[in-house]
Amino acid sequence: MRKKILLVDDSATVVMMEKMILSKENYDLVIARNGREAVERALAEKPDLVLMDLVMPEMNGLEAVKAIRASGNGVASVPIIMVTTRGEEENIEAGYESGCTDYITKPFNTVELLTKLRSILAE
Amino acid sequence: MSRQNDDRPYARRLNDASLRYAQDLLVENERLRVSNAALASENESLREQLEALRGERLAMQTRMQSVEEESRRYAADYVRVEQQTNNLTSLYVASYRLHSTLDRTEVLEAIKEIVVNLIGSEEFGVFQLDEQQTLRLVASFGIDEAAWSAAPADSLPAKVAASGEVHISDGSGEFLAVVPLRLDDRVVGVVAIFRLLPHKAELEELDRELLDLLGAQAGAALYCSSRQGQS
Repeated sequence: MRKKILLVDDSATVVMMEKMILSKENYDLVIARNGREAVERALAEKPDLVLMDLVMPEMNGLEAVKAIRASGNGVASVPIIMVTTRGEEENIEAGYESGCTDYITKPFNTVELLTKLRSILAE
Repeated sequence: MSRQNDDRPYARRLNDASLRYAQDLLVENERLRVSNAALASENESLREQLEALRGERLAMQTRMQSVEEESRRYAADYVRVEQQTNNLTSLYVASYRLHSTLDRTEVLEAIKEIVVNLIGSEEFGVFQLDEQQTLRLVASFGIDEAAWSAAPADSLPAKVAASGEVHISDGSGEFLAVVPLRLDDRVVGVVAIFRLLPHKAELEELDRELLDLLGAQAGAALYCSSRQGQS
């Protein structure tokens, strides 16, 4: 069965990059443009994995991760990879404290992204 | 014949018994000799088998090393191809984003997104030459907009706009890179990158290609969107 991935980013450029990289890997992709939309789509679509930006309008990535984790829904334990330009130690710590599964900095390396993603989805 | 009925002299009986014993020993000796020869033959055969197995093991080890080497080479090729695909994807996305709209705000947003997310800088300015040939800041991220609203004539962005030559430094100066934005043969603006993101050590080959692409295509996209806005 094809895995479903929720892509969350307010940058059309990043979403397009992620779509191009992941569509050839045979994943079903769902898009959200901010944290609030990400929570809604996660609850509705029940993805197998989420790629979450950190800095976004309306609701940032940290808040969105916390909301998904607290949802009590079947999606609460979904693996979430934070993909962000914020590479400072305190941001990485904040990301993990919010409940994200892994953390990748932008500009992201495709090989690193795909390796982590495949590894998490294989578990 | 029972011993009681054996009326041969004792010495004769002893001699006969010794003779039988010696004959039995000879038979047993012969049997052992044959058995020993069989064992020696079997031993030789096993030795040959062992040698053959050793040879086979060596051949398999050599084959395994060769397969491992091939596997490592494939893995390296795979990573290289993935990286090239990534680079081409980045260039394609950047180009697509620049030319997917005639809305000036969206073109400027696309330039910003390319610099932030694909090159990796959150301290840069996009300047455009106005009719007085002054470089005006038209988009920026993480810099003092008031201080850079117009690039001074003796500033590096102005010099790059005048010369049309890309400037890339080792990071020790105020600017890491200043790239002229071209339309045909003339410069219509520059992208000036002050610094990369803290976790990014230096400009890589792909970043230079993206800067080249910005230089070649962002100027045209900006020009077209400006013309569209005026019409």
